[in-house]
Amino acid sequence: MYSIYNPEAETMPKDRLRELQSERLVRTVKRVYENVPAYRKKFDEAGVRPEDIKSIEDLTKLPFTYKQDLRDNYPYGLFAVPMDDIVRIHASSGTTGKQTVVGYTRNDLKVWGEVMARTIGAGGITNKDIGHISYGYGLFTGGLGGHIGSETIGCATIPASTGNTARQVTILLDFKPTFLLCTPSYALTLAEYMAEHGITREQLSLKCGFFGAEPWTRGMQQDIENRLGIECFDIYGLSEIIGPGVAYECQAHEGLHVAEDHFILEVIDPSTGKPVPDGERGELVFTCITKEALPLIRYRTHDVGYIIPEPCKCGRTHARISKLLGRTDDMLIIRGVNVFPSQIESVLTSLEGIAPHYQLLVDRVNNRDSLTVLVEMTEENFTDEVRKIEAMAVKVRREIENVLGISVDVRLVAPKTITRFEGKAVRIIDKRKLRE
Amino acid sequence: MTIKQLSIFVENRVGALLDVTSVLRENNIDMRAFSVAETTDFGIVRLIVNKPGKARELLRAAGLTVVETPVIGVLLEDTPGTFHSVLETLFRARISIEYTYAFAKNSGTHKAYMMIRVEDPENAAKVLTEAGFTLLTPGDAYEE
Repeated sequence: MYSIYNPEAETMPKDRLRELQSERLVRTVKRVYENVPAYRKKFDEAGVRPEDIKSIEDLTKLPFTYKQDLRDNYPYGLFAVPMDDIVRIHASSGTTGKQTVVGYTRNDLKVWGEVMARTIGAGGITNKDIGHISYGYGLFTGGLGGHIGSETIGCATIPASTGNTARQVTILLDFKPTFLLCTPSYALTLAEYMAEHGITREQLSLKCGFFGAEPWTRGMQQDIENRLGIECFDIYGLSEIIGPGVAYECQAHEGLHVAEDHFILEVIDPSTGKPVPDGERGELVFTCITKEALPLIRYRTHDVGYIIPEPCKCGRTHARISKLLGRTDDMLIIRGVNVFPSQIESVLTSLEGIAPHYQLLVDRVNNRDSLTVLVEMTEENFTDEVRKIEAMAVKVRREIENVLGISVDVRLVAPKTITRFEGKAVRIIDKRKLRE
Repeated sequence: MTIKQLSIFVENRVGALLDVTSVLRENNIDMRAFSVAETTDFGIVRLIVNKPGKARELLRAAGLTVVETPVIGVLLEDTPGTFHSVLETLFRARISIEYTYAFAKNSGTHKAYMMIRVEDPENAAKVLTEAGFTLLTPGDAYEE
C-alpha cells in the first residue's frame, strides 16, 4: 500500500481534476486582471482578456511571467490582495539582482500546509512521528515550509534550522526524530560528521528524509539512503509558486507528483516558449490557481525536467515530473554543446566507489573551452598504486565523455577540498565569466 | 613478515607534503622511510614510521586520505650486487614488483633496507627468507 495524505484530492479522476483546474484558472485570471495593474497591462499588451480564458485549453493564450516581473514590481507590486490580508512574507536570495519577495494570506498558508502535508505524508509519516527540520528558517521558504507541513500532519516538529552540525547530530540522537528535512548535500554533511565521530546509522531513529532545494540524482539519493539508513523522498518547490510542496515523490519512487489541483504544470521549450511533448526535456512552467496573495500566471521556473506520462503505481492521478535535470541558467555551453551538471553527477554516482562530491571548472584556453571535473578522492577508492588510480580517473573521464559527447579532463583532489556550504554545494566555477 | 606502510594521497600543489610532515612532527612520530610517487596531478606519499597505527589515525583526523599497505623490507649489505641478487630471487619465483625504495638501516652500519611492494607480500617474504635474506621485522620497524 502506498501512503496518501489526502486521497480525495490526490487520486481525483483525471477529468474531474481538469474541470477543477479550468474553474480555478478562469477565476484566478479574472482576479489578477482586476486586482494587479501589472498583470492587466501584460494581458492587454498580449491582447488577451479574462473572458477569453474559458478553460485550461486556453492557458497558452496567456503571457508568461518571469522573475524579472517580480523584480520590476518589487516588493509587493504583483500582490493580488491588500496588505491587510497578507500574514507572511518570504524572499529569495538576490544573488543576481534584487531579491524576489512573495506573500501569503492566511488561506495561502493553509494551502501550503496541505501540499507539504501531502509531501511528508507520501513517505508514510503520521502524527505519531517526530520531524527534524534542517532547512534554514527565515526568509528562505525551506524551513517554515517543512515546518508547516509537519505541523499540519500533527507531528512533533523540531525547528532545528541549519548549521552547527554537531548540535544537529545530538538532536538526531537524543530527540529521536523519525524523519528529516534538509538539502541533500547537508544530509551528506551529517552522514560525514557521523562517520568521523563513530556514530552509526543504527543509533538514529530516522525512517525517512525529504530532501530538496537543489538538484540531486538517484545515485546521490542511494548514497544518503545507505549512509543514513533511511528512505529518501525528493521535494520540489520554489518560493514564487508557494515554496517546497509544489511536487513531491511518492513511495513508488518514480518521479514527483505535482499538486495539480493547486498548480497547473506545463513543460516548454525554453527557446521557443512552445510546449514540448510528454517525456521530452524542457523548462517547467507553473500557474497558481488557488493562491490568493501571489497567483503567478505561467511562471517560468528555469528548472529543467520532463513529464512522465504513464499512470503511477501509487494511484495518484496528478501528473508526474522527473527529478530536476538542472536549470536552464545553470546549463553550461561548452564548445557549443549543452551540458547540465546533473549529467556529470549521474555518471559519478553510477560508478562504484566514486564519491558524488564534484566541481566543474570551466575555462577558455587559446580560445577553446575546457571542462575539468574535480572529483574528491576518498579512502574507499584510494589505493596505493598510481596505475590503479590513473585507471580510475580514465574510467571516470571516458564515462563522462560518453554522456556529454565532448572531451573533458578529470582531476582527483583531496577529500573535502570542494567547497561545501551548509546549504548548497558550489558545483560550477566558470572562469570564462570571470575573464569577460 | 610484512611491514605496515602508510600510503597518503596528496594533491599536486605547493605545501602539500607539509600537511603530512606537520602532523608527524607535532605528534613526535619518527619516520623510518619516506618515498613519493608522483604524477601530473597527484602524488602518493609512502611512509614507514615508528607508530603506524597512531600515525594513521592522526593523519586521518587531519583530513588526509590514508591507507595501510603491506610491504616487505630486505636487509642489504653495502657491497655491489646484493640488490641484484634480491631481484634475481624474486624473478626466479616470477614475482612482479610494483615499486621499491631504499633507506639506510642506522647511521654508521653500512647497511640498508630495500622496501618492496608486490602483489602477494607473504609469499615474497617466504621466497626471500628461504633464499637466505634477512627481512625487516615489525619489531625492528616500530615501537607500537
